[in-house]
Amino acid sequence: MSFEMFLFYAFAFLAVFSAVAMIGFVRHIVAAAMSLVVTMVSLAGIYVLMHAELIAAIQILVYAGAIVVLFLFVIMLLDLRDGGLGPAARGQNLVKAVGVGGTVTIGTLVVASVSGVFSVNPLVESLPEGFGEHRALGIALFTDYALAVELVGLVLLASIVGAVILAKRKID
Amino acid sequence: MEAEAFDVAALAPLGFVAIGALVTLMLEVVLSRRAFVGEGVDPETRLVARARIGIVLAFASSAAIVLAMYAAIYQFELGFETAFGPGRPMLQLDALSTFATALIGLGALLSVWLSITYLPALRINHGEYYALLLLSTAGMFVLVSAVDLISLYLGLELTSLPIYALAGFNRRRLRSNEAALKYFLMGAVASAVLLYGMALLYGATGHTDFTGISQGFAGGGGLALSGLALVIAGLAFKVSVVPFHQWTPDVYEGAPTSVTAFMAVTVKTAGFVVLMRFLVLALPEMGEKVSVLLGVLAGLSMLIGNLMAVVQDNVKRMLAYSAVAHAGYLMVGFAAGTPEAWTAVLFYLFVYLFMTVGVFCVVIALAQGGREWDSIEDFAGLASQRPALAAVMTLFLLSLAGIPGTAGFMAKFYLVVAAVDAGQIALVLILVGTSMVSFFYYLRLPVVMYMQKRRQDPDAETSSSEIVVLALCAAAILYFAFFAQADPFGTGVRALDVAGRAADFLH
Amino acid sequence: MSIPIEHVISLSALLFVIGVVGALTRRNLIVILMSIELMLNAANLALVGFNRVWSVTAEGAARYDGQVFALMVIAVAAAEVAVGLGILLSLIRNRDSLNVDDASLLRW
Repeated sequence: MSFEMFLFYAFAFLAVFSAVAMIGFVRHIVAAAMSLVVTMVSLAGIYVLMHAELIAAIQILVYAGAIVVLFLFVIMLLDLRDGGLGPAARGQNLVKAVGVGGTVTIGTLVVASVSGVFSVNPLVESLPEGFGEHRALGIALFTDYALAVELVGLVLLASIVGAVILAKRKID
Repeated sequence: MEAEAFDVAALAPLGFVAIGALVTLMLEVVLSRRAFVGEGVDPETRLVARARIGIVLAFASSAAIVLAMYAAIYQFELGFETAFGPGRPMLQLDALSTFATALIGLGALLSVWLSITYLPALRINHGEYYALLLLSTAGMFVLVSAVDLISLYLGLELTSLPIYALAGFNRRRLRSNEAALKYFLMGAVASAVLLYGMALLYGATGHTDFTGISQGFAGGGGLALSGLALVIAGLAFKVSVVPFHQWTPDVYEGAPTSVTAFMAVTVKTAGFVVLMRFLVLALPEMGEKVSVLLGVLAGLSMLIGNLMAVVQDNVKRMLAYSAVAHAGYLMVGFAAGTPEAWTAVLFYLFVYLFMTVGVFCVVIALAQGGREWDSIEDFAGLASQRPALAAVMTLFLLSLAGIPGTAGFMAKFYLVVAAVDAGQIALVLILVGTSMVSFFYYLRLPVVMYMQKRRQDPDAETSSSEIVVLALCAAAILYFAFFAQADPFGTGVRALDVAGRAADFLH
Repeated sequence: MSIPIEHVISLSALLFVIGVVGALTRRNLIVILMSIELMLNAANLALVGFNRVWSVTAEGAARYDGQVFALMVIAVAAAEVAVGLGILLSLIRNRDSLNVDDASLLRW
């Protein structure tokens, strides 16, 4: 097993472990938020292994840096004394979730392993120089995907307006 | 990058509404100076000032939408056909997208007019309302012309995020908060599912643009099929098709009625158009299997929607289940999948807009004293006090039920003909059977309005903007009942031909 | 040698399922929101992973569909969380509970 492979499995284990912890067995909601950070940072590590360096950096900046902080901010604002986490799950919903979850897992795992698509298109071992780094991706973003960037701007504007109008303490 | 690849004129409708949103946002800041609405002003003055600002903002948004519609209609007449995006196409401007853009614009315009007096009546007259509405409209414009998974996803989010906020716009009302929360949670899960499906499709085919997907799809493969199923599920949520409809009654009831009217017509139009384009462009070879799946969804929606609507006591909930049923009728056209069926679906969406906006406008006209009057008892004896309102309400309900002499009948008629031609006999039987069931609940309201005594004295009057909307919708329903294919005034425009031209690219 | 893409996709599927289970079974609204974030992250991992497969065109030029898509998703996720937490705050002002079961509309 190469060092790359070892890193991948280590990150994968960390990601799954903390994701399960987040929805499963942590006691306090802040701990759940911290588990989410661990998952996200592990995924950033995997992105580096997949030659997506820019995504890895942004993953940490936006997800771990901004989104989780936003969660923590709201948790602090609500001042939850008892840890904020109620009973884990209700029977009926658990059945539903296991049903949905089981189907999706089995389905995806099966198709991921049997699908012929990866043999049709084998992995290219020698990628173009600078693949996935900021320069190449930046050029792609502002040429081919310029419209998508503009649209994301509108999405962010909409979310700012929406969040402000809903969360403002006093509006008139 | 070549300059001519960047044909900005193609984006005119999107640009107009996006700029309109910014203008309304800024306009509110400029207009609501401290002297009128700030601290220490007495509530009466503030309310009047707010109402005036609301009118100005409504006019500004109407102007933006009218410009966008004008641009779209102009492009439609020119037979505009271009793919937008330097290097790689993200949006496709053609007859279908310009037709849908104009339709969505019309829905948004009527919703803005509905809001002018409704927002003050509920005391939620804030300028952000119009900005959010315009941003959501911009998202739908993106959605109907999307030919790439990336623009589809972004358009969907741009459509949904403002509507989540709009559903919770009545912040003081718990019902509204909970409706927003429910819509948000289920919508976010649905869009995550959709996104995962897109990722699988991309993985299986190596492309995110629809034509690339259709080429890569040729081999089929489990990965692509599961991706496809997830994408269809995600889109089915947006147009509230069974079994992804659970949010519909609660959100329709809890959201402010003008928002309900807006999302009932525009989101449905945008969702069905993007589904149409996706199915035709990305999966031309999948016809058989997908058609069975869509047929099942259609049958379930018609059955559950119509049966559940019978037992509702709240008019908005009843209309929500009726919306599920109508989504089922439209899916019959999808299951048929012939050019005639696409034409019928587009014509149905066009007629559905007038019926739905009209019916919600009546509910809005009844709202007064900071609360909705939306239970069935609230309609008792309406005919004796506001006879005109009761009469148009009856017309809209008859049209929704599909009774001959209304546009709703013609819309259903074309759909049935197309479905029979395509051999979907079972679905047609369900459609006709469940339509019979729907008479029970649609005709319940006229009975209550005409046969029972009024219990409360209404002091609200139908405002002029509401009268305009009601008259327009009623006129359209009567006009298209008789002249769907004719041209009595020599304008050279026949509604069905226009829908046919829009569906033309799908041939 | 590179990491087998099947393993990456399996990891992404696993995370997605954990997210679905969390969103459906947990009763705390903030944890539900976090689970939705997890689902989006799983989709991002799949996108980036698949981009490794479809990384070059036939002519050898780099292709970034998956990575650009992932970037867009990250931005949209941030927007979604902002609106979600806004809705949450407006709800909590009217009703002092974070438990889904206390919302009469939210039984599904």
